Amino acid sequence: MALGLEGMGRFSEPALLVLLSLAEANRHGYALMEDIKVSYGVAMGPGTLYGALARLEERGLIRPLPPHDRRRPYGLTPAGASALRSQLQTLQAVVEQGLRRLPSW
Amino acid sequence: MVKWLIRLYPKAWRERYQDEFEVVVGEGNLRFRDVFDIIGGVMDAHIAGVKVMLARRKSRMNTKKLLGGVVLGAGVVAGAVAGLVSPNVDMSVSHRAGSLWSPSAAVAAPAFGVTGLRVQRCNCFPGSAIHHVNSGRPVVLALYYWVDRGAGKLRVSFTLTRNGRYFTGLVVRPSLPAERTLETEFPTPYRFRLAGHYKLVGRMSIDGETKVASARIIVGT
Repeated sequence: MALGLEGMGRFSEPALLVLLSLAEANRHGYALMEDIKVSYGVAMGPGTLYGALARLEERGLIRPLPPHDRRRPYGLTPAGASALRSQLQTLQAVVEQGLRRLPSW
Repeated sequence: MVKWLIRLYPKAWRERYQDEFEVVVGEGNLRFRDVFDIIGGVMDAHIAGVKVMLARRKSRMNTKKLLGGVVLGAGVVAGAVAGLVSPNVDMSVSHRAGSLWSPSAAVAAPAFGVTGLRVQRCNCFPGSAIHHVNSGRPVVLALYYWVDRGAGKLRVSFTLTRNGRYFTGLVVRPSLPAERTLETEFPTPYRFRLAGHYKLVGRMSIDGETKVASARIIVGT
């Protein structure tokens, strides 16, 4: 069963970053790597990027768009937006809980 | 160097991604650690689900070609596909005010049974469909659902019976609005024990209102 971002193993974080980047705009591979590097300080390698893209596409969370000059942009699907929102809400709950436990440090 | 690395990827992966991957790698300065990253990607592509993904795509394309050739002649229109595979489907049902299951653009994308599997019948409700039945590796049965109302408690279940007996199923209670594909997947070795007649039923209920989609499926070997 393939739903959301569950079960992606080491590709969970790259997949989340890709979804975050695509939430802003449709982007091709290189633009994704650049945006993720600038926005989140993560230098994602091409092997990791395409591992994440393949999984996201397989799950219907992103969709390939017509290529321009051999560059193929990707866009977020409604299911991808939903999965991203759900993941962010989970992370937000973790962060809030964590910060509540750290007041005296 | 890059071309040599790319040749290590599976053929199916290269057919799908090689062009754009070359551009991505060529646009940046290939760092030493990128080489290891690509090698990791190669290993992953061999052992992970990329082949599954491509098999699904190929199956969908074959189905579309087949249906398109027989019925539509020029391309596959989702409503017509549903009409062909699902004689009882009523794609013309319009969205009534307050309806939970609205017609959706996404319903324009259902693909149906392919080699080794045959969908006999499918009753769908607007906006949701038996999404795809795939005889690739592994076998995948999937139900797509879509609900646009942002309140209430939604329950979606997915049941597969074989020769009248429960075979497998799952239940989810997603938050609203919801759009997802529920999939149940059988690994390749299992496929050869799957032959038989099946009924796939998807049920969605919210605040006492229930909709059902079903399909009869013949699984060959």
